[in-house]
Amino acid sequence: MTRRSGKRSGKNSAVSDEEDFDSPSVSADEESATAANKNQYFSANGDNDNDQKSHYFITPNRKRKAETSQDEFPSIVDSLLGNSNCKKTKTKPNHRTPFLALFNGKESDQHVQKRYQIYKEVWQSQLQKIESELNNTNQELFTNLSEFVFRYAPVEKSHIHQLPVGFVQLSSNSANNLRIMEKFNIHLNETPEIKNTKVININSKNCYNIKAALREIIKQFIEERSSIADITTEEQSGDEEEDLEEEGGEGDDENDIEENNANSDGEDDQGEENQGIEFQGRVNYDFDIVGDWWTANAKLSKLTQAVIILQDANSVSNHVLNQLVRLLHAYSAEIPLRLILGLSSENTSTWINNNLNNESRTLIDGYKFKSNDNVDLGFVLLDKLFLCNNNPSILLDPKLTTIMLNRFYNSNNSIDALIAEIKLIYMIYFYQQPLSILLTEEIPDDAVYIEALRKLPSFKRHIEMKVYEKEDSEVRKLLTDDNPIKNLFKTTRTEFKLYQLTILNVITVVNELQRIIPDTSFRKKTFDLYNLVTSNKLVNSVFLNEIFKGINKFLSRGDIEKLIIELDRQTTEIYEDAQDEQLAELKASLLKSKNAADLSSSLNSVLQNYFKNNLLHNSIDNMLFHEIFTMNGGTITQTPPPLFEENYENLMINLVRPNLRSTLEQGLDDCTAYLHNPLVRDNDSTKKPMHPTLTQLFKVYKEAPVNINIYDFYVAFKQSLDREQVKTIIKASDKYDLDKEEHWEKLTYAWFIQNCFELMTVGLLKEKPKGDYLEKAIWKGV
Amino acid sequence: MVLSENQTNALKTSILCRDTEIDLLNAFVSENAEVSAPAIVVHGYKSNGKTFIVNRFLETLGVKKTVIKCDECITRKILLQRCLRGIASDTGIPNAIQSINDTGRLKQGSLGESLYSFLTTLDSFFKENNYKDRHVLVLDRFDQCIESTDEIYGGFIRLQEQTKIRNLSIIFITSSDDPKEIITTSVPHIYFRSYEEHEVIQILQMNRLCSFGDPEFDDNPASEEFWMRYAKMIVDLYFVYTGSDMNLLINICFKLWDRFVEKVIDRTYDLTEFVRVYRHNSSLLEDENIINNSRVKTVGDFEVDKSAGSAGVDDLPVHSKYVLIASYLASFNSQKDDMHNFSKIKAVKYKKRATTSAKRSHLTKGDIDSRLLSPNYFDLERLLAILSVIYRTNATSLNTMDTEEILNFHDDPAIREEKKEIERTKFTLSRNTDLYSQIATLFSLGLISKSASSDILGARVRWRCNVSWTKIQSIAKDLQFPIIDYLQKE
Repeated sequence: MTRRSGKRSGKNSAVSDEEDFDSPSVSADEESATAANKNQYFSANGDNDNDQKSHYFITPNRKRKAETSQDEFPSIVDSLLGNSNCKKTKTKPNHRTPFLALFNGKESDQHVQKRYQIYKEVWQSQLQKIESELNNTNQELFTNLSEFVFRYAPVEKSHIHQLPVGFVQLSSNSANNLRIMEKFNIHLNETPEIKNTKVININSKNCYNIKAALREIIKQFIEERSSIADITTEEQSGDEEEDLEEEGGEGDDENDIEENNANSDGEDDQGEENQGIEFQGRVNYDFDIVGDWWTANAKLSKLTQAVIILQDANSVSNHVLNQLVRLLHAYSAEIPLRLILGLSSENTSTWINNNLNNESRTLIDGYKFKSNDNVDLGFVLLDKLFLCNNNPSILLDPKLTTIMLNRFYNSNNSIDALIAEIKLIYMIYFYQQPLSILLTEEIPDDAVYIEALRKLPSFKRHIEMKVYEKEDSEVRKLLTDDNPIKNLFKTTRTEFKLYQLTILNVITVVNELQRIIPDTSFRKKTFDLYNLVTSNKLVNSVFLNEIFKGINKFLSRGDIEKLIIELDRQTTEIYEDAQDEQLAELKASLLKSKNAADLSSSLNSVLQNYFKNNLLHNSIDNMLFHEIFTMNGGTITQTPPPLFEENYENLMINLVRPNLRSTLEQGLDDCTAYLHNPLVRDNDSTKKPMHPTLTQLFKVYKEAPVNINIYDFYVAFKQSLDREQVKTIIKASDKYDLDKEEHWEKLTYAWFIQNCFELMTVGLLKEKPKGDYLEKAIWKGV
Repeated sequence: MVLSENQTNALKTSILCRDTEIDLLNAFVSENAEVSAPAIVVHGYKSNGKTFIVNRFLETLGVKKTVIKCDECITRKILLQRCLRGIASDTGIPNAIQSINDTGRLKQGSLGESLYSFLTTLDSFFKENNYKDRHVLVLDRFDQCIESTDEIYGGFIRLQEQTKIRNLSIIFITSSDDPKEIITTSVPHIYFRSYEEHEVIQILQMNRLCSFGDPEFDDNPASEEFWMRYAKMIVDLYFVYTGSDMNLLINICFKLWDRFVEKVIDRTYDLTEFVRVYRHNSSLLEDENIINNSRVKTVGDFEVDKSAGSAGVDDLPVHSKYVLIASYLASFNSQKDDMHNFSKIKAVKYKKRATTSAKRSHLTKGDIDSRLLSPNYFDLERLLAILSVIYRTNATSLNTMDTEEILNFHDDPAIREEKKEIERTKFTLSRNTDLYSQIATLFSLGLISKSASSDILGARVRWRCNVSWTKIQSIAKDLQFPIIDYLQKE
């Protein structure tokens, strides 16, 4: 088990080759999983780290993969598509990237390489933004916390000794909390005082009872500092590495393994030595070990304090917590201990009241620390990443942003999950869009690119429009000649730049306008505004209407002046070859209207004028060549197209948040999605295929009552099978005579039992305690 | 040899209100092992001076003693190990710890594995080193060891019967009753009664715990008087709550002192004007946080945290909030009323009304507001079903008309609404895995709980809402969810 890049095994095969190129650094779609992963970062050794994981990471052996997968995958694809002449793909590609040659393999190596390179550059720059934003978010909290750790002094002049405890109020999302605590560790490691400090990280998994908790603390205490420092720095760099691109590929892994080996060896030796010298026959959860260790080593290595960080105090049983506090307090007289408890967003005082007993409460000297709101952080990230002039500029499809925002608001406000989503969007886009190289390059001379441009749906629509407008000569030119389409593409590229510039400015304008209105409940986040603008829902929206009404009501002269200043500061009129003339006009007329007699009506007319901009009256997916300039996270055709935003789906969301239950039910209901579908079936055989017996049982199951008598269930299942058909399949190789009732029953009963167990493991059935009956474990239509 | 009268008197003057107890100790513990009891139980309410007095007494007596704080021992094994090591190091024999370690390991494989190994190791250690000095082992807070000590209680009491050690006697200090299984009638018990209020005042007044930190005040004889009145005030105010628990009282003394004397230090009031200082601080003294000890300081300004008890779940995602509400409804509504509460079918409602109108003679569970009852366990599937219903009917994302968002909507809204209605009836949150991870998160936050000791993936696991009505009410208000409509009425 390594913590390096790996891949979740999903049945969506569209990006299944992604394991070769870097997978999302954090697959935080399931918090517990991240929690378990992160846990490795801290304990670096935990015995029971793997117990609670929901999925595991497997690192494939790169060398072997390099030999096999590149041969096999295309050949499987070919066999699926029925291509017999797969000679072209069988020649070993020279581009040395995980990307496949697209256009049915006609894409040249050079272009594949280029595509991969652009992907790397684009993601790298976005990643840097993410990193810098994340590093800056909780600086204040970290400074306060390290101040507390390094320079704690009791405020009240009492000679009763108390244990200093820091309560860190975090968010209710445990994945975020772990990330904050991890960053805090990194922060601690960067401070100069770390040399005098012992840092110990434990979490709820170490604390299922007091023995285990102490064992973990002691273990981390007596580990040599150097090895701890190594581990943390290594993990730190490992963490970054995961996100960064791996240039060398193969060499990397070996190094890592060696490092790990070296480390674990070192630790083992250490452990044995400690057994001999320091344990002195003590059991390994005897905190006296630490006491002795401290008196022996503290002066030697100039240790002045030790801090114990319990990352998720909410999940620890309060019984254990109280015992821990009492014990640590007892020892804090000789060892300057500080305890830091990470809490979820509950009110701190209430939490203490509910979870610590009065005795423990008198033993502690509590301090409260507050972290930032992570919902805001999510939006800051999105703004930084997408609401600025990037180069090359790729916009997000409004449907995609709706999906992302919905998930962020409704079900998973973890920052790590958000970052994973963003990365996946980039990956999907560059992996499957051969035209993505046109973002930076001119159109190559290869005819295949021109053809691809002509095949884009938006181009087809464009042609239809032209036909409708009866501009036949132009249509003919576009369809037959290469140069006109090249020119068309060039102009659209500039148009897109202008479009991007315009909407960014509109967002700023609207954002500033809504600040005029004092009612904050009405305000929208900038990223929500982006969503509205790009889907053409802003100009005629109730929201904008309300803003106009509000302006009429609340506008003052100061507001206009502020608006002018802010617009000057935040907007850009000219970016590269695009120039936002409407904005310039707006600014000019704002300056004029500043002195107008009737402020609000003059501003109103100015704004009306501004919003008349044609670019704002078009949704982004009506634009020509939008497939190249926008990312949509991979499309999935849904029939009928959903009306509710919560039902929107695309490839990206399907990968990070699979529809487990409905997939299961659908698959059992109708197995043709996986078996016997036209793609796999032998075309020559005219025989009607027999479906798996499991789906047969599921059909019976669906019609059964909540409590099912096992015998009735079996009889119904047996009756539902087509005996004649089974005979034709099994006859050839079998010594059984299925005409005999006994043999038939034996066979069906075996199938029945097997399938029942399968339904039980899936969670559809459960056994009633009294036998004879099975109970349906899921409800219909839930 | 017992303590002389002079010595006991000196002890009694330095320790107030414990004359009888000192005399009793003096009677049972002496320098001569032959005439002292092999084991004594000292018991009484917590923090009223047991450990302190025993330690002072033994110091005055001048015998070798080993004090083990049993409440810091996680297991019996550690307790026994610490006894052995403690005794060995307190004997003053060079390399005693090494020798006892070796003895233990040679004889038993490891130290203090069982009571038997403890006794034999101790026995042979005493024999090998020919240790004859008088030694007292004090097992402080013997009943508060994290692992139960009942089983080794008897062993310790019969130490002298089971070994050849005669010079070691044991003092147990406990605050609870003796365990029933062990016969302790032959062992002398010294009971430390709780202090009376006037005794508490006297003790506190004698020990001046807090100072002004300024020699101008501290050297002033009036400060002595100030402390006396302060101590009396604290006891008068809080004795009802603390009882004779000295620890709590001392804690309160420290906690209030700094803010209480603020006005004296900045010279607004004189040291002699205690009553005026008291009046100035009357609001401080009534603060309930003084008693519950849960106050924490916010870092930076070191102000005491005053934030009121907010719900604390505000930043949960929308779906999680709905899950919480659904879990509350599932816990506080009985399953047989689900059709009535959550179904659209009208017939069920009429039927229900008809049956309940019949008069019953006495009060049943149904007559009590379910919010006052304890939450019931429910199946996960029921939660999901309720969630689907309440989400479909109330979620803003599913129930806003397009015309509320966009003006001049051109398609035919009626047709679109019809289509929406069809999609809404099929809408479910349990489709994807996010919902399950949210339920897991809510569980780890302690907002919902499951039936004890059941596997989280098992089919038989049942769940329960763990959130109070006020919290749920604030969540519902946040979502504009009419939770009261769904709760069982009557």
